[in-house]
Amino acid sequence: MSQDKQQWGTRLGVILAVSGSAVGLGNFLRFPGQAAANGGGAFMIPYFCALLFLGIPIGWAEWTMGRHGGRRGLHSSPAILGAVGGGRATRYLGVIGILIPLAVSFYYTYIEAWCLMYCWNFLSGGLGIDVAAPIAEQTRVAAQFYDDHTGRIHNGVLAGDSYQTLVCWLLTFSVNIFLVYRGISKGIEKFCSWAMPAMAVCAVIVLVRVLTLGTPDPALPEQSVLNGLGYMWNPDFSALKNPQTWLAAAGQIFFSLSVGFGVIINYASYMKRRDDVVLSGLTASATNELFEVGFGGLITLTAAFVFLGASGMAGAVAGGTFGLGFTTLPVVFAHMGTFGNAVGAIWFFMLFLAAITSSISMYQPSLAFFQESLGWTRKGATTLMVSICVVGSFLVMYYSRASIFWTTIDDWVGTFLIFILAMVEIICFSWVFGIERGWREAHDGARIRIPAFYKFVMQYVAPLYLLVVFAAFSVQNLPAWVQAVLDEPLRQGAILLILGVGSLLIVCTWIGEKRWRAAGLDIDGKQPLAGEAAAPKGATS
Amino acid sequence: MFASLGFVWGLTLWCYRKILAAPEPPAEEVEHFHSA
Repeated sequence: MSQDKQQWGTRLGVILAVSGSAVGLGNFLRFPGQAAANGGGAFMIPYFCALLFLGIPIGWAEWTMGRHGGRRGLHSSPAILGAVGGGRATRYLGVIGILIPLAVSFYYTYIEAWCLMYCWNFLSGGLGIDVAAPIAEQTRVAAQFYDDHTGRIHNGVLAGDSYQTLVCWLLTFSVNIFLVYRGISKGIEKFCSWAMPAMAVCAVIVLVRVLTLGTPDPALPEQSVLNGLGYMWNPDFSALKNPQTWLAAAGQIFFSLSVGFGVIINYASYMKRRDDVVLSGLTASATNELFEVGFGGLITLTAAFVFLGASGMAGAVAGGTFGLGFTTLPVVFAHMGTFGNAVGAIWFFMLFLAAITSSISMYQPSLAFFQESLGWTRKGATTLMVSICVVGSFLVMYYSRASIFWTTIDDWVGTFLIFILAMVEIICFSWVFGIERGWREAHDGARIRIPAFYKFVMQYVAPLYLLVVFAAFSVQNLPAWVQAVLDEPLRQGAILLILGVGSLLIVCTWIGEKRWRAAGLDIDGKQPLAGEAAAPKGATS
Repeated sequence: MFASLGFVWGLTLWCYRKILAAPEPPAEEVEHFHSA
């Protein structure tokens, strides 16, 4: 056993760290656009259904499996899923739980650097948007700034004005590695315990400013805060008849909560043996929802509507997460007058905090995995992880044209593989580990009880729900994605990178498997743990 | 809108009230199979 003992300091610490992992740009930028485009207030019905029957139950399964793995002294998803799933198949499928956070970090830290760079530019006088010009011209200037500073026009982030982004990336990446290297309690927990409340304070400041905007232009009385809230929230119940609405809601919940990402299972493995996982999992989900619905749902589109009006909103929403965040909102902040730049800086600093609390969670699983599989020290494992990340991130930044390279990784790893891992996890928990055993394990040390009908939900509803969403998603997207890869060499390069990293992780798992067996570890989970909650009399599993 | 906001705020506050009221389990040794 290693001398490197890692454990969360407090229960609140792990909750804030998991919440920090879940709260990201999607909470503030993707959710409002999805809601507005899919029935407004009516969207919340399928959204909360997906939260209750898909997101929260899969989250509980991950928390429970993670803590169970930690009790066995295991911290990486291949080792934990091998022990919970009873064999090699789930162990090697568990490699996905390392590949996802590692590959996503290649581009996520780059986007995180954009937030820091935008914050810096707002602090130093704004983006050069002339509010006297027509809205179309202002949007063009904001889009030009975005393209120039993110390397979207040409490959090579070193070209043009992108050097600012490169400096921000170096700073961001260094801070990430420093925090992860410091460890679970001294690094990640300490940072999230400060960053999450700071993010909430920033969100409240921006929210108060947005809700007190009133009607900034008396000549345009329809562009008011109330109408802005109406644009986002007025319900269109006819949208509920459209399966696309239900699919969009399930997708938003699924990606927002970070289930199937490989992070929760790793984070929960550092909990104390009899620490609560039920209330902790629910609290982390609730925190994510507060940021998404309570802040994201009130700020983003309301602010955009007040200054752009109904006619400008169609383009803003159609621009998607990045168009809304990095092109539309800078125009909105430019219109806020004296305090516009300050509000813009606070907004992008908040996005930066949201991103960094997510990105540190992406490094920890691979760090734990390299230590566990190769038997390396934290320093050695960090060196290997940093080397892989530098290569991956360099490729992302070098092949920056039209964001083709990183969006391919996002499609195949950050979307497709998440579905696969979530499916593996919920089936492992409910069917291989067994719902009765899993139920007892979840309630060991729990501060609240899960309602009994959730046994049925976790065994049947959540897997079926996930399968239907995945099938519909695949039919809608996969043919186009495959064709896009066949047509574009940059996309082929991204796929090669994913395959290369995936192969390395498989080799590491194979080495780890040999080491674990040689050390006499019960890596297939054949024996119940000493002290594992016993089955009540008459129970069959 | 008010129902959604009430739900997320209510759930969050209820969860944190429960979490903060619960005693922390005692610190313990954690086993790792990192460097065997």
